[in-house]
Amino acid sequence: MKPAETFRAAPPGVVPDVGYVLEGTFPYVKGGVSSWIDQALNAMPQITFGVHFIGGPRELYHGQAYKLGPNILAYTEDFLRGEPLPPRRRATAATRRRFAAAVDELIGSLNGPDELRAFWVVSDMVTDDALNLCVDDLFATPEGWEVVRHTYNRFAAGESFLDFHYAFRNVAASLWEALLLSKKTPPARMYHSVCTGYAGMASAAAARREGAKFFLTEHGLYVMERVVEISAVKWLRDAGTLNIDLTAGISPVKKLFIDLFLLVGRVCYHSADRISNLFPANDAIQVSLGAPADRIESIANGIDPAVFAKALQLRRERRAKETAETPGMVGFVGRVSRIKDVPTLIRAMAIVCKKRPGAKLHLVGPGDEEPDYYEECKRLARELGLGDAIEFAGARKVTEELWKMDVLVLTSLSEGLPFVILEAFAVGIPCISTDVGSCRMIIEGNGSAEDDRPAGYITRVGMANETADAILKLIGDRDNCERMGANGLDRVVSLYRQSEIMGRYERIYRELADQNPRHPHSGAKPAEGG
Amino acid sequence: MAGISLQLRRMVRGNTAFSWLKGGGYALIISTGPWVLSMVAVALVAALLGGDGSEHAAFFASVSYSQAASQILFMPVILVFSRHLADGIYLKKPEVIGESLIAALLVTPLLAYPAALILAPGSAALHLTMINGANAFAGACLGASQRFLRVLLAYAAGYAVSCLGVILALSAGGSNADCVSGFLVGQCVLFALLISGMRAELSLLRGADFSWLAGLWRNPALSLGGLGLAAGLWCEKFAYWFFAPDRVVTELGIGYCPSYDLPMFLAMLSATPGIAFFYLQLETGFADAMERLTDRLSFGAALAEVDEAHAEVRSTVVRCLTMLCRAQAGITLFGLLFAEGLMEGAGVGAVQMGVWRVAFFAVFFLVLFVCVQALLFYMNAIREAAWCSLCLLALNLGLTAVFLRAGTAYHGVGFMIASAASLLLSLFFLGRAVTRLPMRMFTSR
Repeated sequence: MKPAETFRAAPPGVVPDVGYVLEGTFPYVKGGVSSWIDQALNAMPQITFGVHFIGGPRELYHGQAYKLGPNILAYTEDFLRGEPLPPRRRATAATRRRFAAAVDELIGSLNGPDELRAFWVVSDMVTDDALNLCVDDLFATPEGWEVVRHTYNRFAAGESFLDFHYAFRNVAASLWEALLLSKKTPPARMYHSVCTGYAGMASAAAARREGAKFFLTEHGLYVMERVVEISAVKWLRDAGTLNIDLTAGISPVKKLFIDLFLLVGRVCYHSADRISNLFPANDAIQVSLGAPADRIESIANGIDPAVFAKALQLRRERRAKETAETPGMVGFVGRVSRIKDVPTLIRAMAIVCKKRPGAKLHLVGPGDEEPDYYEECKRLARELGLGDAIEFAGARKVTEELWKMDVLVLTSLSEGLPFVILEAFAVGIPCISTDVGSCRMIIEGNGSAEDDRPAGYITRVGMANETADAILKLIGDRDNCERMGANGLDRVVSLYRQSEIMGRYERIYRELADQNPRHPHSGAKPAEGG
Repeated sequence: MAGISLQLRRMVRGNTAFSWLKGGGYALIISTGPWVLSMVAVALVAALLGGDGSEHAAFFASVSYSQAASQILFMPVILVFSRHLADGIYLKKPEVIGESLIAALLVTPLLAYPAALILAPGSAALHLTMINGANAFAGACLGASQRFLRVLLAYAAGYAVSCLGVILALSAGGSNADCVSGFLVGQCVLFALLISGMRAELSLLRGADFSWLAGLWRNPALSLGGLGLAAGLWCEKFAYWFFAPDRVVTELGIGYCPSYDLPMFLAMLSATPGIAFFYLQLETGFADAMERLTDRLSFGAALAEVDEAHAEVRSTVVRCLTMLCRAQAGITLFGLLFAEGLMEGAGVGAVQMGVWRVAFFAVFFLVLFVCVQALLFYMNAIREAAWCSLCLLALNLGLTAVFLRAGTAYHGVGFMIASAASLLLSLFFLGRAVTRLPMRMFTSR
């Protein structure tokens, strides 16, 4: 087996058109965003790319799931250690004092008009090798300690100082590391990040360094996903004393954690020259999170229906052989992770199986991202007596699995525009999804006269009863199931074609790359890559 | 001395004069017992031998040299060794005690060998240096197992046999070298007694554990600090023994300085009550305050509560040092006011009066310095403690060299100034360590 390619340098004098900074996705992890990246790379062979993969701890990644194509001219990968290595020399006392003051000003200016300027002051100091700063200059020096105390008193007075300290240190160390990694991002004529967070921040920093334009796309809403994750962290105790927006009911320590992620989001939004999301409903949310409204546009995901033609045929043949008494096969495709709220689906299946014995759930997707959670889901299935009714199939090829499903269900807490729904539609499968992201729009249509035929059902988050009812409406009524599946197929063919959508991205890439004064031309023909 | 704290706190719980006296006595025994016993044993031998001591100077010089050599050579290693034992016990690995001790005993001859540069190779004094080192390792092991009284009893018995050995050697018409051999027998008995108290630990033995030796270079602050402290405490004595104009060379070829040695030896005894008193304070009030601070940090208290506990640590440190300062000042004042009477009783000549006074001042500063060092160690400010020790060594060497030229009247002045200056530096570091204590506790986690 050929070993994974971990580094690729652009030829001398050549600067890729587009720089991707990818966080925990392509080429190591399969899934929504990774699929999109792979799709974009393959759909635009005439554009050259530089890719910087930033992952979590190295041991979480077991081989690359995607091959690096020839139009990727530069590739580098880094894995977060949790804390960057300290420099060999110590920062001077004067530098440490200046840095502490800069961090204090940043913390003090959070949510204020000066926060971005304060952020870049800190960022410039962190990334300046000559200053020799390290994380401990903030946490293990008297100057830094005063900032920590000050921040505690400002955000978390009365809370556990231990929890606060470690939360603050963890976030600071991670952001610090991400900022340092931005220095390793290959030069590019423009940068595109498909999320805010560490990758967005690193892209913004790289674009600032290279004098390049920055394009930010949000498939999901990174900050919202982090809020869900932080809320689930057990070692940060909830006080239940606050009631502010996203952070309702959570402890001040968690709130600071979230505030820092929100800051990162705002840094990304304000650094971006153009911002895109998958559906218009996200405009308002992005604006509320700090994005300038005039830079936002919506570009949906798309797929190539031809890829699913065989699966469509197989499904049709299978369905033709079945009768109204066939119990039905429910499908799930996705990572088995907390954000997907798989337990709600399992509980829904318990209800379905009582009313329609023999019904099965075919659960396709890797469980290695959150192995404990995967085991929790399996245990729940056993406890509910669904050991035989639910198959945890693990990671499989979607094209080879979809035809087995009568209906596809997503019970996610957060989604963007899930590829899997479009793929299911391409195979004629109706879908049930929670009312998150653009799921309502793609399942029920956008409300216009041309696009108002339902291709499934929308349920509320965490409502197993509603999900079960929707499943029963589809697997118990073959005509309804076929009609909705056909609606989905029509929709994906008419509105979500990959070729048209990728054309929009290509135009944006060219427009932004051509504005780079340092690199007006890439200097390479796509054929030279790889 | 992990574990002693609890015993002492239990003793003084009643908060009566008697309970504090009992606690103080116990602290005296535990903290300075072996050291005092060694000095009392030498003094006892001197008294038994009678005369002005010059006849047996070679014996006393040999014992002093081997004491000094063993402390300088073994102190850095003992500190690293003790920390290794404490870590092993914390990790619930009791076998670490026996296995590390075996390794320590195997390297003891190698460590002691440099002493042969000043003591004749193969001499009883060299063997005495070796057995002193072995006893220090064994004592550290028993201390780690919290058998402090056992250590003390072993030392008492060992030194008693040493005294007896010297007397028997003399009564048999032996030379000073034979007296050293007689003394050595007692130290071997001490070693046997210490080892016999470790049957449980040695029963877990599976081999020798040399891993702790890596601590010598992995934790240079600890080893260098230990070396600096031991060498700093002894270097001026070597300077007088080798270079003082009034030094005397014994029949065994090693020098000593009677005008300096005896007053300094006696003045050093004045350190005993102060150190014991401080030790009691350290292991009760200060340890309590530290425990409260640690608990608050560990169990998620709010910063205001942490600050409160931190302030308590700060005030406890100030109280401990103030009380120690007063107590030691009283002893010093007593030694100075009644110098003549005391000197007459101890057989010290009028010529040594000036040295006696200087030595009392030096010991006053030294006691405070050693206690501040203990606080620095307690707060894990090892690097700062090492700097202070190295400062003592450098200043003591340098200033003693300067004052050696000034004549007998200035004997000990260099040591006194070095102790005072090192004390000032250690107080500076202590203030900083106390201020930064919560930060350091978080950083070291």
